[in-house]
Amino acid sequence: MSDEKTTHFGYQEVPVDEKAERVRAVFDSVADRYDLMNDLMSLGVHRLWKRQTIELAGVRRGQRVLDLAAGTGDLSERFAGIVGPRGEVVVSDINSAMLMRGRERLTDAGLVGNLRYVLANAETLPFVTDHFDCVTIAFGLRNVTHKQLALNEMFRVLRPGGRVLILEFSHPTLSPLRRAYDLYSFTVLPTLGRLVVQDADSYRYLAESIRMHPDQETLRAMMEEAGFEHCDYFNLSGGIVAIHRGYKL
Amino acid sequence: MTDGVQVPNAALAVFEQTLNQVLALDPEGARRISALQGQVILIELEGFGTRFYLIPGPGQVQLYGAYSAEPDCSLRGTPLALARIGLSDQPTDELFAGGVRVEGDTGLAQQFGSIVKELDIDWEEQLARLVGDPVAHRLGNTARAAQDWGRGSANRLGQALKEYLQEEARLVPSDYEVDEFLAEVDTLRDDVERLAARIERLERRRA
Repeated sequence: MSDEKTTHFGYQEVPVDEKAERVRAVFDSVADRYDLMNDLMSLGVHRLWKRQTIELAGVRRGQRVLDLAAGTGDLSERFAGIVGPRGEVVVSDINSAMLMRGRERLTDAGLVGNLRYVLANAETLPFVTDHFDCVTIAFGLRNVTHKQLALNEMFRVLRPGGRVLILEFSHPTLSPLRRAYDLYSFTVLPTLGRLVVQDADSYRYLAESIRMHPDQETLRAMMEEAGFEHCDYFNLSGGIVAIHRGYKL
Repeated sequence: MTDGVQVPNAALAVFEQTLNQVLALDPEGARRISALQGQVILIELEGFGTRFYLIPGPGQVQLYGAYSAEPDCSLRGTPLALARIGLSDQPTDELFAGGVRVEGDTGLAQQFGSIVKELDIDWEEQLARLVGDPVAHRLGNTARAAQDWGRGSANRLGQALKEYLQEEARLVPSDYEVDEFLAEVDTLRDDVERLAARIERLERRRA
């Protein structure tokens, strides 16, 4: 995959080196109203998807969690409450604007002490091997240029016995739902984007990048390729999103 | 993990939010519950199979319908029996009577029970934010009188019910009888152990 000269950015082909930069531009543009947009776009359902991710993660007090593409820190907020003062949550994002928003929001919520903030690229994680009990990435893998590299890195930093949770848009399993969903994402989403953050293109990218993301079975195979075992996935909202889970044994 | 009547995730999210709003009205209670941070408490409603995983955090709780980890303690009982843990003066009565089965860390279960029981919500403070202190205080006085009357009646009713069940209907044993019974169990256990030791000694001598 890393031999290719171009990669997809939504439906466009862009040079490999450019994708990260373009994704950064998208999130710089939406950072201020990211939470509001999430609520509008998913009609609030993204909160339920994240709750289910937390349930499946089954993190215990005292554990170390790495939350990649943490954005404004929805998952980190819950993890910080569970792992307690003896545990640690590393809040990480490749985009500094998003990470700053996340840090402001969590600190304002009184969550300090067991949280660390790390600006990092998921393809080259600045952490030692065998370190975390749980690694999560919610709505982030889609934007990574080399997904396999990112999966390999997640595997590396996990402790044996640790687990990875990937919450990502996926492919609806029912065809009537797929039609309605397409209509929604290519007409409603960009309009919402234009109205709320004055940026229709970023949300068109969002809809397109979802279509280009590997489907459930492909992603599972990629996780196995990275070394994860007992890989399974849970379709939510008819497969519009899926939670993938794998273990490092 | 999916058998039984499970509460939809969306309802749990709303329930969790409501719980935390209530907790916010009692900073002292919120502080006490923070001491249990990260403990996974499973509450299972018997007869329905409904499960709640409650995880206290700093000043608030998280509530899930399924949590992929072994709970630190689990409380299983009928909804009524579980409710009584939070309401009765002696939460342990309920545990002794077998109404609620506790597994895992029983100390944690008792601590949790007493925190729930001692929650003291300062509604007046919250109301004052909306309508100002004087009005809130007057409303508060009225409400307190009503609440005291309600609590007094509930106590009297509870006491009367307890006496009826223990003394009149003889459906449940009195505290004294339970103590007596437990003492007898201890004596019997000691006797059995002594007898076992003696038999062992005799067998050794025969061999």
